[in-house]
Amino acid sequence: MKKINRSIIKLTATVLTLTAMVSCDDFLTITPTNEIVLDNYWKEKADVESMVASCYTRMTKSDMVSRYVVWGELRSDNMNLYSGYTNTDLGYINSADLLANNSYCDWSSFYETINYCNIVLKHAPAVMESDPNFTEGDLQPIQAEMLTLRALCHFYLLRTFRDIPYMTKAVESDEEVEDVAQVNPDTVLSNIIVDLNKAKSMAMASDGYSTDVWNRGRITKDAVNSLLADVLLWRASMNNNAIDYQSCVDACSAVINSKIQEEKDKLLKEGKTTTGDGTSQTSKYPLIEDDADAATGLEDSKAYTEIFGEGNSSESIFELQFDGSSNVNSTISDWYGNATTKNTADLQASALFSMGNDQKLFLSTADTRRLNCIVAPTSDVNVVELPIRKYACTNGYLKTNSSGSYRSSSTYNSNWIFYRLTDVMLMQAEAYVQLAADSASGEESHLRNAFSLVSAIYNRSNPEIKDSLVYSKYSTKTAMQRLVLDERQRELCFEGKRWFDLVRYALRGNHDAMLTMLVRKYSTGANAIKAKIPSEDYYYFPIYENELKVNPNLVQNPVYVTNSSTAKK
Amino acid sequence: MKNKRIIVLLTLCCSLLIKVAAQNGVTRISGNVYCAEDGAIIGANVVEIDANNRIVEATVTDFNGNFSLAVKHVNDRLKISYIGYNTQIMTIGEKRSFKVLMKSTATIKEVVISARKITRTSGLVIPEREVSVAQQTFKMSDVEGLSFTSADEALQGKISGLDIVFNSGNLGAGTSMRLRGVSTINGNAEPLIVVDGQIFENPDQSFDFTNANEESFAQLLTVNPEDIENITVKKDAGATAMWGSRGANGVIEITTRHGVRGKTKVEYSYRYTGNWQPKGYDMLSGDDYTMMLKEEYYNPSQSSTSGNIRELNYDPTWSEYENWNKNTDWVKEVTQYGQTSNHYLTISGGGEKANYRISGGYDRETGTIIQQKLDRYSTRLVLDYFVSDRIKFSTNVALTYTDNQKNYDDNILQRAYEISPNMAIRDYSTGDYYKMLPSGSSYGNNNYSSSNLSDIKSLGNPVAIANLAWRRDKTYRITPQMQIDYKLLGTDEDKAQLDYTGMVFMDIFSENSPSYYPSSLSTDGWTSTYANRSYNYDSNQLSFTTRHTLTFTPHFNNKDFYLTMLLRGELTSGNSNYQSVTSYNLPTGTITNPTVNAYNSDMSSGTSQWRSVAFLYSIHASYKSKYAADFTLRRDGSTKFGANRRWGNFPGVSLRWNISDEPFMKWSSPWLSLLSFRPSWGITGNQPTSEYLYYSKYSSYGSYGKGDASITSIHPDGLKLSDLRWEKTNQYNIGGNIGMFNDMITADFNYYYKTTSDLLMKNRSVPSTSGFTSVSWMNVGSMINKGWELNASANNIIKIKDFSMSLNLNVSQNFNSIKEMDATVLESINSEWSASDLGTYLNRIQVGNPLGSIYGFRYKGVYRYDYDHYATALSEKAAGRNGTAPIVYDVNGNLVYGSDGKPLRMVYNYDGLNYQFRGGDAIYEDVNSDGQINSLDIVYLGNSNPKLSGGFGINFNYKRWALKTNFNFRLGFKIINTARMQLEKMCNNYNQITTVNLRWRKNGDITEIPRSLYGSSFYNWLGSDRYVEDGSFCRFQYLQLSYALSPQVLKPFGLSSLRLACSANNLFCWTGYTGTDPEHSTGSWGVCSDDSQTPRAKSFTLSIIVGF
Repeated sequence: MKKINRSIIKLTATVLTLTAMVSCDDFLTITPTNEIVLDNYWKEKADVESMVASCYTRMTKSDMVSRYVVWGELRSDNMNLYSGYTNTDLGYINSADLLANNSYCDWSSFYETINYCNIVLKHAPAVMESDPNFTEGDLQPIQAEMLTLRALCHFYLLRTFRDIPYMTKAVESDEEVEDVAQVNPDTVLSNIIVDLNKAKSMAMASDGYSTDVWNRGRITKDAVNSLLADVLLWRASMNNNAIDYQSCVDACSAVINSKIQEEKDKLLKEGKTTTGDGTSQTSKYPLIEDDADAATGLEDSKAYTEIFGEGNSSESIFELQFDGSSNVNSTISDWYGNATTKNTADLQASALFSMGNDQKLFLSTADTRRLNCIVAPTSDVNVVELPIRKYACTNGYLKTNSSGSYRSSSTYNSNWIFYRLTDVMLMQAEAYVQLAADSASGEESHLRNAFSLVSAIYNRSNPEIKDSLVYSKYSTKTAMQRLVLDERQRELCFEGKRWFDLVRYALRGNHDAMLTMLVRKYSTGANAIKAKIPSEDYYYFPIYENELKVNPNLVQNPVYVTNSSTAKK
Repeated sequence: MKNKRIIVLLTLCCSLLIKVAAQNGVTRISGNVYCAEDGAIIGANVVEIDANNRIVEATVTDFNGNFSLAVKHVNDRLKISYIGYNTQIMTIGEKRSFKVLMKSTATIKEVVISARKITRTSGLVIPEREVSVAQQTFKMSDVEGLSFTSADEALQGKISGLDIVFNSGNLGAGTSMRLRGVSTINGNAEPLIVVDGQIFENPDQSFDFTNANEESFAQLLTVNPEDIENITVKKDAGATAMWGSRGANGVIEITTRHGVRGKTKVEYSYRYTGNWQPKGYDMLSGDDYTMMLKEEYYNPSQSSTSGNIRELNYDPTWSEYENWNKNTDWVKEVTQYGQTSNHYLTISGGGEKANYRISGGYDRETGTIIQQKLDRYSTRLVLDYFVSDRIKFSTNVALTYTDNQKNYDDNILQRAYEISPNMAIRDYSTGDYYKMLPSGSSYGNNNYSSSNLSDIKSLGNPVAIANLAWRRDKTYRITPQMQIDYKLLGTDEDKAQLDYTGMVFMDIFSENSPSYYPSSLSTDGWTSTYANRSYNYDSNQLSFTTRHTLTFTPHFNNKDFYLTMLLRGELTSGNSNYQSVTSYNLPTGTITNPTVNAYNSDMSSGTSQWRSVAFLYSIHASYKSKYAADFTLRRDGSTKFGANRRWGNFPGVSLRWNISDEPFMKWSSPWLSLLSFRPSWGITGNQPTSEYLYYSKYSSYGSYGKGDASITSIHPDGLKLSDLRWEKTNQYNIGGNIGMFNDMITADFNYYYKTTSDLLMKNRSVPSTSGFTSVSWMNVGSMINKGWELNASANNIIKIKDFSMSLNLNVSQNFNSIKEMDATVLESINSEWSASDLGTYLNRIQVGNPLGSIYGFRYKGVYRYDYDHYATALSEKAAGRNGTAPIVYDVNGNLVYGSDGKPLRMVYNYDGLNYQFRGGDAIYEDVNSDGQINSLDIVYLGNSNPKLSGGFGINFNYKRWALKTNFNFRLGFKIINTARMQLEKMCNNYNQITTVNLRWRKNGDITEIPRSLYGSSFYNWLGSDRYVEDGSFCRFQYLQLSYALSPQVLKPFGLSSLRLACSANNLFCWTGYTGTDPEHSTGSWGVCSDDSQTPRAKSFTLSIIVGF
């Protein structure tokens, strides 16, 4: 009997041990040692800041930077592939053969950024509860940044693919992954505009950060307004909507005025007097003067050196920061040139930039932008391949035809500029032109406004031949539209703007005129290229093949739906 | 107050003790031990034992056989024992003086012991006739004297349904095992290995099983096959359900040897094995090679300048001439006669109180490829200590150290096949290994190699690489296991038994693999990242398991009923960490450690942790051993899954009906000893190989900003998998056993049908609009495997006097098919055809089709005539001879003419590459007769799953002689012979096999080998059935002759046993396969390809086993 009792005690003990294990579900909860898990994240201000930084860091990765260039620039008349560079995918795009398996149809990097933004928007408000140092005042600028970056990414996608899935919900687990269908551009645009208007009120003031790295490197009120202007201009061009053009003018004014105010404040701080419209400049806009410094006799282009050489200039509104160590701008290094590749970089400026071409882009060889955006040919000949200088070199010249000093590929630190003052000014000019009556001519105020914006920019870069632009030559709406377009090309070439400029232009009923401009870059086969872009639908990229495979709700852009000859039976 | 209470308590205790002492007292007894023949017995053990046979007091008898003992308790018994005599047990009671008469054991009359054959695995103890699940046991003693490095090698061809394929012939390369087909897409498909009831984790957890080009760590290498008693392979879900979430691929249970009661036995065995490689391809000699290359360069351009390469010119004025005028047989240079020596020593024995077995082994192997060496030291200590009838302690501690000295890369043989045969091994002037000069202009000047030969230069000198560069893999594995058994109720079958077993098990694994690549192999100078490059990888793993088991076996007065059940709880936790470092440009060639000052190129480290909890309930019931039923339920919890999917239940049910025991079968009893029917059903699982999947993780992502203004970025790292589930396999099995003529012939048959659902798929693509392009693991679709297995043996089927013969045979067949899979999954994993991809095969997964299907073009030979000669071709064709030319025929076989009135020309990929076929090009069948070869001409070419596989053996015994043979076969499967493709393609500078001497050279040549063309824009080696071969083979695994000397002969020498054996291994391989060896494991998506891995060696073994 005793024996049995003892056994029972032991049995009970064993059973108890076992039950203890059952209840011990905690035993099965382990956390990784080299990563932070969601439950432990989003606790303090630094967590939010680090995740916000990730959104920007994501945008500096080469899969995104390369797309700013390919989507916005490579298709345009500005560039060609270097003859010694073979890249099938880029080659196809350059020859207007857009195929759904082209890797540049892959949009995943943009949606990754969008998701980062959505994750911040989802979790950041709750951090206020756990960290008293994180206040509403900290939260609002961050929300504005996230809404704006999300809008910027969607805007890129919309301009490239037209109908796109619009993502506003954070995806963090496999259950939240959905087969999202596309929506039409109008829906996306109106949503973006709502977001940007919301962001406008919350965003950081343009000089709100303590350093210019953040004032230019993160989203500020000016950046929101600039993007808003860009978005409105696009919608206006799509729908020929005067209200949107007017809103665009207003948004641009907000940016320009803010920049003027900034300049005023700066001068006041430095104890300088302000003249005229409040600036010390000859122009009424706070542009960096490109005059030769009479005192020193230097012939460096201050505008180029400050804007592209050094970055974060006073004209800048929003640019991605590359410090050349943790973030190296390798795409621009490979494609535009570095100390090693120099003249043989992968992408080259088209013959348009050579003076020998019949269709001169620059009105004068003295245009400092020509000297600084390309390595100008020594003689006035039609050169097919011109090395790009913009971003690649750290200094600019006023008269010399010299490449100057290139950045080294391993420490390539050129920022990527999304918006700067002249871009906004020319957007405003573009909107003004469209606000003018179709038959407008002579003293139409909108055209005058547009011209004054253009000539301010033109004069800055042509210090030798100031005021050589004459209004009377561009006094019709058509001519003025073309002037603004050309000035945008001269001012903003290789900055990922040109193709979208062309599309906006074409959407306003100038399909054929746009094609004529586009094919100028091809030495042969111009007609073939024209034939490959028979209609508006061809302005857009096809949806990536791999994307269509995994998402049954996606619809291929209509002109790319083909009955492939290799379809499986 | 408190003190008072303690005092009271103490007093109470004391009084109790006194009471006990008073009751028992100390009683002194004495006596004399003697035997009738020899008189007094000196040194006999006299022991007082209690009711549980625990020793209380003990003494030994003196010179006169007298003893005296202070007995603790008169109710205890006295036990007197001496070697050679029967043990006597007597009660003490009132008796104080004993006269013990001992009887010699020799006088025992013959006794008949009847016992039921039982199977003892890590679950319940069940009589063999009641086993209701599909399992097969393999005794290691059957292959004694044969040379196996690891246990899986011994199992090859022995277990029906278990398909074992050698990864390669390199030392320690291991095998890949598939039980009842593949039931996962890219999870682990290897069966679970259990050693002495413990899951033997593969330390190489992160190994990518689907894209296994490299060799994984052969984990069974850490168990010395000599230590193994037997191996039970559990096949159906009824049996594997007890391993729950890990049991879906079947279970291989290894039981190690224990000591047995008796005199101490010392046994030593030595085996010597000589290995050599089977004959491979006949390669071109240096002379033929240069001629072929000249032609290869001439053909595309029709100009001899492109082939003007110094290395091929035999120009005596060139300074390197002497290094490029040889006829080197590189394969011969890198292969060697390999030797293996195995030493193994065991000491085992035991007495009443303890059994022990200590073993030590030392193996030294040299490979068939030069500079391959493998050393293994292993030791195992097994100790069982019987405290009493009720309590037993056991320990089982094994330590294995392996030091595998590999070649720097696994493909030395492939390099030897491909390298230029006119190149010298050693530089004629310096005598050092020859290395090519740095690359220069295409025609080569004195100080540079021709840039055309850059592929040869990057191959390097295989002999030099094998000798100067190295890689080692050193592992330690220590597996201590401690166990306590406690019989809580009855100690034998006459009473209800309740046994408790507690066990602690640790698995400590440490791996170190350094490698070194000296600058003397690199011509790119000191700055090359491959100059004096050193790499070191270290990893450690520790897992800890505790297990509590209660087994209850009630006692029925009616012996017809038998019931036993088990309840078990188990807890495992483990962690691992690794670190690796690479550095290059080490200062000297003698320092090979990456930690010295040099350029560090890569450093990484990681840690991981896992835990699991499992509960198991298992019951076995039988009636008259005629009807038996088993039920198992395992509940598993694992850290691999999120909170909502963490626990899984895995049931298994199996039944057995021994029909032959029924009264109505009485008529057959003279010849039918066993006929049974066994149905079973169960669910088992499979896990993903990664941890922490159910977390949203945030990791460091660089920083953003410039200069002082910079913020650290932290970003989400992958999707949280909240919905990930076990991969579940639902398996039905119907089986039966048959035994005839008193089990002289036995056979068992199984049919199974298993459906694997929630298939685990790695990196499944998702819409990138989610912000992620793939989900690390996802459950997608389901798969079916069905098939049958037959295992039969005939023991002593022929017995004439001293001669006997036995046979055994096993056959199995498996059919695999994808049952269901989301279209988007299929779309994203099935690659698109790309016209410019040479030598690749489409491998598509389609619902209703099996994994491992190969798709490609159909090869129809070589165009005899060029297009310009089509008129000749047509006249030849009209005359009934070979008149092939690249012209287009329609569906009806009529010529198709173009607008110019000439026949249309056959093109490759019209509108894309637009290559126009010429004479001497490969003919691909234009399946749809559209005049072009493109993806529409791709057809199904076969499957890599064998239709039939198995093995058989015939054994003969004559007196003390034994002759054993074994064969294994795999029939009806296709291999992509990539090795031959590479050696026959004639498009680069690699050496080729002699068949290319038959290549097409001019119009009118009739041959199967196309012309040679340098460059990648020619399409003579597209993925076609030219390289898809039937891999069916039957291998004569071994023939062993052994002789055991009779004990009478040995006795004078102080030996108890001596056995000599010699064997020949891998004697023949009957196959139609043109490659070196048709045995290749399947790679990604189940397709099998021959990448000229080191083939399995042919060998002979001599062995001697001595017992003392």
